[in-house]
Amino acid sequence: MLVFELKNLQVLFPAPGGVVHAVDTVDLEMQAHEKLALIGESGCGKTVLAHSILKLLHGTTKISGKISYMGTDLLSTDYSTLRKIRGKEIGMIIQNPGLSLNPVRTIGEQIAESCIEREGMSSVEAFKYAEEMLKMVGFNDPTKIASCYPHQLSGGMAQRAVVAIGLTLKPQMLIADEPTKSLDEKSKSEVIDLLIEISKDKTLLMITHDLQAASCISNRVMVMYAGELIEEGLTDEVMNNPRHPYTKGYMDAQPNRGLKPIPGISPSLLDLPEGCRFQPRCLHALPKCKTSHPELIGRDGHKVRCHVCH
Amino acid sequence: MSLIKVKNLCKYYSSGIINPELTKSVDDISFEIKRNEIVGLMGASGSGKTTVGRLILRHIKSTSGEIIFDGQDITKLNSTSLRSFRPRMQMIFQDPEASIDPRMSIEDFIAEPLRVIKKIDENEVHERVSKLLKDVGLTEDIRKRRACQVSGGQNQRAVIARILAFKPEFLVSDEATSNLDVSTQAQIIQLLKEIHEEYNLAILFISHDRELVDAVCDRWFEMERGKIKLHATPLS
Repeated sequence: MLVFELKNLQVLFPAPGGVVHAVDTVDLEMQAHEKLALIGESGCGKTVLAHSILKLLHGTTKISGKISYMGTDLLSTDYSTLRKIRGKEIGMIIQNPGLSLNPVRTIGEQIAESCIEREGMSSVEAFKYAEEMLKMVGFNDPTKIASCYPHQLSGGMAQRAVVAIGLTLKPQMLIADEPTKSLDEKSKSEVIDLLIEISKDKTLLMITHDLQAASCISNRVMVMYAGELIEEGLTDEVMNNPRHPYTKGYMDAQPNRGLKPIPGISPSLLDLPEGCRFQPRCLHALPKCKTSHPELIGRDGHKVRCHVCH
Repeated sequence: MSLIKVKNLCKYYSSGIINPELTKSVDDISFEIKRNEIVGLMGASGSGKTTVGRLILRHIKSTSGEIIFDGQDITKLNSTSLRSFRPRMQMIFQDPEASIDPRMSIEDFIAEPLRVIKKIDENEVHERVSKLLKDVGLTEDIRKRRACQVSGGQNQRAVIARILAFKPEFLVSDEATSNLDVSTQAQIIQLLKEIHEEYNLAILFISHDRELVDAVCDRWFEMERGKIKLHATPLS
């Protein structure tokens, strides 16, 4: 069953030097209970894409295309419908718990807040529920954690608290934005196990640049570069047999594969190169890569946006 | 000969007034780092890795133990005599954007040590900054920009350029790449290795990523609850 769909999504930011093409013509479909990982380097538009889904971007942003959840078009829908979907149908695990948690409220208050506001619970009920949520994400002493302020928790604990907040209203679909960023190995594996556990009966869109986390959790992967999708396919297929030169380079940059950097830097989203966007950094570029923009095509679900591969 | 020799280094924090509780952040550790060597320091969050880095640089005072830098025990020095040591040992932090003064341009940020510490003539500063920018792989058009206007990888390169302006002998890299994605990480690591060769630097490479430490370091040791758990060399 098709749960979620993006069609021709384009997100533009007006900026002093022109227009920033943060997300450009992205098509994406998610079936029920599917786990999809969106990977790519910093600044390629992953987080903007996630935020555009729930319309969390600044008012001057221009979003066009179609974002559909269970048949509802989120772009054209009114505020009250969108409010019913936010948190309750599509939950979000926001990145960087150190900055996204409110420093002057306890963890318990921050979880209880949405229960009181959205579910009409009394504060006693809501706090009890908050403790249950904390227990669910793996805290042994939820009462103590509920009364802690964010600075009293370690990075891994704060990340789990953010997961609890994302799950509070029992959403059917979860968007997890960089859930394993700057965690140490132990906390990272704990958060990965937790995400696997909680997403069993949910649709999960995970945004990450951590390939290890992506391969543990997802069954399908999409690779993003300079605002557009450049490769998509089953996780094993893309991880073991990447076809796009960028994806290959990205895999080889991992410490266990030789730590080989991709030469050059990604293009500015204000001034994108003509033709293939990866062509200025590509070692295999053909003359036509400079002039014609490749399409995302392929067979058996493994699609690549590259002239060299076809 | 070793550049840095740490002997029985301890750092205890006490909290509470009536029943003071002692937290042993760093508990009796000893190791050496030779010139031109990259030594890894592994451990989970809270194991005391960063404290060790900051102790060696005398950002914080140790409770007991010796830190011998180039033949002199720097734990005994007062802040005035430490001033001559400060430029010789530098640190790269985890969050590059937070390391740069948000109101400064990248150019001023890199030139500050040249102006303040090295007291270099203003005419020469421009040239020296150009050389540093080139050494770390940045282009000239970045000079006038601020930290918020450039990417994380470029910020970390600017931080490294500033550090090179001090002409240090010893560098502590504290999770310098854990906020960066894998391709930027690989670029920064390559840069660190290049400057390590070119400037003959000794590096203490703090990281929680075992694979990264294996790929970068000549040897490494692991900390757990303030103590050294094991010494090892990377698997070839």
